[in-house]
Amino acid sequence: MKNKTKKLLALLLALITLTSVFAGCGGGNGMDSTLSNDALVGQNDENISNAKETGYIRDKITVAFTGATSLSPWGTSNNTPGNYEVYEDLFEQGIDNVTYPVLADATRGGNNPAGIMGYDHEEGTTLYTVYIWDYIYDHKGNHVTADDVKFSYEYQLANAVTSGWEVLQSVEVVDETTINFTFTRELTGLGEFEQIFTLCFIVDEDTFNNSKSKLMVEMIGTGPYKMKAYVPGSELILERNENYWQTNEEYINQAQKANVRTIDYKFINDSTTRILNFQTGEIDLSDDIESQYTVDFLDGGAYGDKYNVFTYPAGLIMNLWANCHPDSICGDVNMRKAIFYAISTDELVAALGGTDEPAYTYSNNTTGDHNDAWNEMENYNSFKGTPEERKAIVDEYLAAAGYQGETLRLLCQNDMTDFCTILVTMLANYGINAELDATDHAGSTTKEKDPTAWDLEYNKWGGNSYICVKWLHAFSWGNTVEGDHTTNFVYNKEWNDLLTLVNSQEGHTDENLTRWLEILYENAYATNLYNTTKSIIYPEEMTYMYRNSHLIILPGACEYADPNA
Amino acid sequence: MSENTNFLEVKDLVVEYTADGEIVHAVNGISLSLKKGETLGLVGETGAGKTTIAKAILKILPDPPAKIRQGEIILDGVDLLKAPEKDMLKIRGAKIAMIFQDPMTALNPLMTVGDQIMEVVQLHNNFTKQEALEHTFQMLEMVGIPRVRSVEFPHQFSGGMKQRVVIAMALACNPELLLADEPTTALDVTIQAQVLEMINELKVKLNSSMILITHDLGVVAQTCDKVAVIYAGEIMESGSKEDLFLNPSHPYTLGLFGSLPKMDDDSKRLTPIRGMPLDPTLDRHGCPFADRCSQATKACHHGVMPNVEVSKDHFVRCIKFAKEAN
Amino acid sequence: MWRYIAKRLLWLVLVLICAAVLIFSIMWFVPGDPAEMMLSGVGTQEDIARLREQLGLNDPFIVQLGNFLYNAFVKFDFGSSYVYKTAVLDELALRLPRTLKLGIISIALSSLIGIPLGVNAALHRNGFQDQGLLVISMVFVSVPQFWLALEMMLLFAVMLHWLPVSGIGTWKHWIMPVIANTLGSIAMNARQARSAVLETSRADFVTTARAKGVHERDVVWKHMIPNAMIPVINALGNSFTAIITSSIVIETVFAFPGVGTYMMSAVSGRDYPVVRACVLMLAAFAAIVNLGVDLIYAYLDPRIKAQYVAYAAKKK
Repeated sequence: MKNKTKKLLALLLALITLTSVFAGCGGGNGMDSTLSNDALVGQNDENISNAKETGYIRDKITVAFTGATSLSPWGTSNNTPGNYEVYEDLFEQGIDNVTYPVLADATRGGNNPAGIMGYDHEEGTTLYTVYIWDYIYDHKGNHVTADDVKFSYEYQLANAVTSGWEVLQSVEVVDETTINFTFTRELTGLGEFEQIFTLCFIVDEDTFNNSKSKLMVEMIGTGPYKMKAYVPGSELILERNENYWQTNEEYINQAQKANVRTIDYKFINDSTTRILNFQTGEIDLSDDIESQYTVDFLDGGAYGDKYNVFTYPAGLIMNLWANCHPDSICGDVNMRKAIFYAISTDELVAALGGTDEPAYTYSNNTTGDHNDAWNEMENYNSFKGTPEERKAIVDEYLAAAGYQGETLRLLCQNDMTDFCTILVTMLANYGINAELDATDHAGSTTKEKDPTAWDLEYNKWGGNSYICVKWLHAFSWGNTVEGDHTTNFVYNKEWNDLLTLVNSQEGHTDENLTRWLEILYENAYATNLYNTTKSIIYPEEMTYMYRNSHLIILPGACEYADPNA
Repeated sequence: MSENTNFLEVKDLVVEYTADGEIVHAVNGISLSLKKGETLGLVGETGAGKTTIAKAILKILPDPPAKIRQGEIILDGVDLLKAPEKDMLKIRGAKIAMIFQDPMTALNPLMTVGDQIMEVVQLHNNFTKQEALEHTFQMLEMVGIPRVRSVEFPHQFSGGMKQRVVIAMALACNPELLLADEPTTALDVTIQAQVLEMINELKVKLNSSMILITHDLGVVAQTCDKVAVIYAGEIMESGSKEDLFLNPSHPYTLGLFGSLPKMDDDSKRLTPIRGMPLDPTLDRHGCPFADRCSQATKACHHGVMPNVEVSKDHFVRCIKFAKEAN
Repeated sequence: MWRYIAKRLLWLVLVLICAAVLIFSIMWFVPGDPAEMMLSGVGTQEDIARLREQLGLNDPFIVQLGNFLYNAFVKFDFGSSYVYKTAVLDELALRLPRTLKLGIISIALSSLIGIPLGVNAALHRNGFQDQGLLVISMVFVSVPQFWLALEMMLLFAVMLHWLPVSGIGTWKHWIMPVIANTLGSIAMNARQARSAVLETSRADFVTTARAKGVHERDVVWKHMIPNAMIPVINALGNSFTAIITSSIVIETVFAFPGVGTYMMSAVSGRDYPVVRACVLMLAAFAAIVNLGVDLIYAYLDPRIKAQYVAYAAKKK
């Protein structure tokens, strides 16, 4: 081959290589988002909020599932796919936060302050007596009795993570359908009843003992669905339980309906792969889709006629907190205020592409105890001044702190580096030097224990329908080994006592919640950066979407229209 | 065929190599002849083109780089250069056989020596397996290797024994022309003598003709009938062994003999031929040896040098002798 | 020869023990606590402390190492995954065949396609086969696997609807992962084969064969190719190990439940039993493949066999 041609060919190949490198990176960020702010929250939700029975039984629905898990039913934070379809608790809670009996007998009990059927409890005592139906049979045909309830509770307590179960003292069988639960104290805390009685699946003891894997790779419960097939790490197939024990229509709650014959869970971790599966029709339903990926599925998009999108506020607190330990430069409250004033939530939302919502307080409206008035409190979170006004305030606090241009260390996890780089830039605009320290999840939990290792940290708090519980997750003194400070080294006892108070039945008042927030902002312990959304892509035929109180979609409980009608 | 016609005749052979766009003139118009039973010694420095001639005769020069530009190679009346490949396949190994220079690499390391000899035997004969095997054993014993060793692999033999295997392989089908390319150069002196003797004996037994390529004048003296001296792809001088040794004429031949160390010479240094061998990529003008010749004149650098017959069948390619003859 | 194999197997066990100690120590020193990983956000410090105790994470280094080595090498018990709660070996027993199958098919295809291409290119030096191979191999080697995987998904699944996007189930699910895995290796094998054949073609014994009057076809197939195959087999052995270990990317993109995805999620979740078992298994695998390649060498090349026998005979 002539030399010149060789060189030309080499150049061409190098160019191809280079372009393929660029094609590989920058994945999702390049996608144009044509979502307007109006289109965001609750788009199409009138489609799926009408619980009218269609009477149509859909043949099959395929759901995408992410994450690694076993099929075990145990643990108060159990996230096995399809767990609520295959297993049942004594009581359950819908998205409206109303607790109702499932395995508990709805025709008995009712003598309790909350007025819920299925159990008796005298106020001021520590005893709760639960009654169950006498005709509960599981998928193996075994009769589920009070002994099985005792077995399930004791097994879960001994072998799984049971958050908040320290108060459970004993479970005693009274007769075949009656169980006595005794606690160390009365369950007056917010959500404490639900933590015990809606978070333990009841499993028949004989079934459990006869299962070779002890229910790690098979699911045998009492619910409207039973497990048909399981390929670990790949697929879980559930089918309708034709011999469901509850035959009395009056007591079948929406969650116990089986409107689909087969539910197929596919385990797909990679978000791009998931979207491609939607495009080929291999998946019908998935939660947890980032809003930027949903463009094609909106009405008018390429797949808009086969799917719909439901976008909802993710309810997460996007938390930026400061290390309040004297060893850190952020130990000075003036420094903290300077930092938090330097970050404008409106600017942040704009920098992220405009599909999110700004956050003006350390709470959001997805929680039942949120108060919009908090958005009007005067602090750095809600500050809406001009950049010049902002700069003046920041400079004032920087001077008060005696800031000499030291570099602050911002700790975060690897998948958040892009976002945190924006934060660093925003701080730099106001003269505050910060550098990024990104590690993986395990690394950051270890590092945050060392007060000399970080100054700022970014993380997210989520997962509960009460804001005070989210606050508790974030700032509980129980999160640290010493137990006398928060994870970000706040030693304020008054604040901690207040936190415990708002998490009790009587202390859960607006006044206390507001006071807690006031202390947070006075001392500049943390800030809420913005409110993000998540999307669910669901099939066009779904006329009603059922989600329980944990925001888990139960495909069998949804309603579907007949595509041929 | 009468005793006087040549068994092998090479006429005006020109071979070129093309490397990286440049042309290397490896063989530049060579003519030789050989009678049946004769041994021709081809003497010259490394790179003079000796091996190329041998490979050209067998037509196993690798074709992309090498090309035979012109010439005739007539063996027993047939022009090999015009012969089709299927005929050459029958000739190679049977009518013409080659003994290679480096015994260490000349044998296939993955085949037993017996198999390698059997291969050539079965290619050119209609023996049954048994007969071929027996013939192979005989060849091995002929070169002094016990027949039980035929199942061993080349790496299990010493250098000298490997060369003997190569010889056995070459002679297995009674070739009429043997091309021996420096067969003893890679061996040490004691073995050299043995191997040469063996080659000679077998040659006499089979009445083969041989072209022995070497740069060792001592070997030439021992085994050859005729000698040709090659420099830069051209024959400088050719004649009988006596002619060359008793009456060396060409300045290059004189230089070669002169550079041999002598037993009775007291001088402390050898007398090499000054200068470097000719760059084969350059075009030729005149005598290739002119730059190094102590007797060169201006006329030596232009034109074609005449091939002068200074005595019967003793040719010298030098202008000096042309004038003298006149 | 048997002595040689026995000696190698003994070394294999030693190598595995060293690998086990190494991976155990590495995971020990990497910051991050599995109990915390599992419970952060849902459990209190007491829960975490209790879980640590349960998992035996509070014992000193030597004790934990000792337990691990004893369980792994004597009882063949690698424990249970912290996340999946199932026995690691059981899970591996399901996943390893998948990854191996993918790997074996890829290797088989890449050698069946790559080696002939390479040999062909070498035999037709500077012809269109050779130039063509140069271009193709450059392209295949340069293309990033995940990019290729995504492009294939877009083309074959989304646009043409010929193949399913991801997961496993039918033979159709395997096509794209195999292709993505194979292309790079085809290029490497072809280049290896080409240069091996080219080098061998310059060897003296090839000229000898021609001088014997052997037909060119036999010169190539009886003399050149067998000798050229030796470095090619070596490269194949390396390829095999590389393909298995690099299956992680393919498995993630195609939601393929093999060893790769198992190990990935285990590393970030600090699921120690899974990481240890997977690493040991991969080490064992690599060692066995190497042994296999060496034995094939010995079978093909008598010089190597002689070396091995001599080595085994050495008093140790």
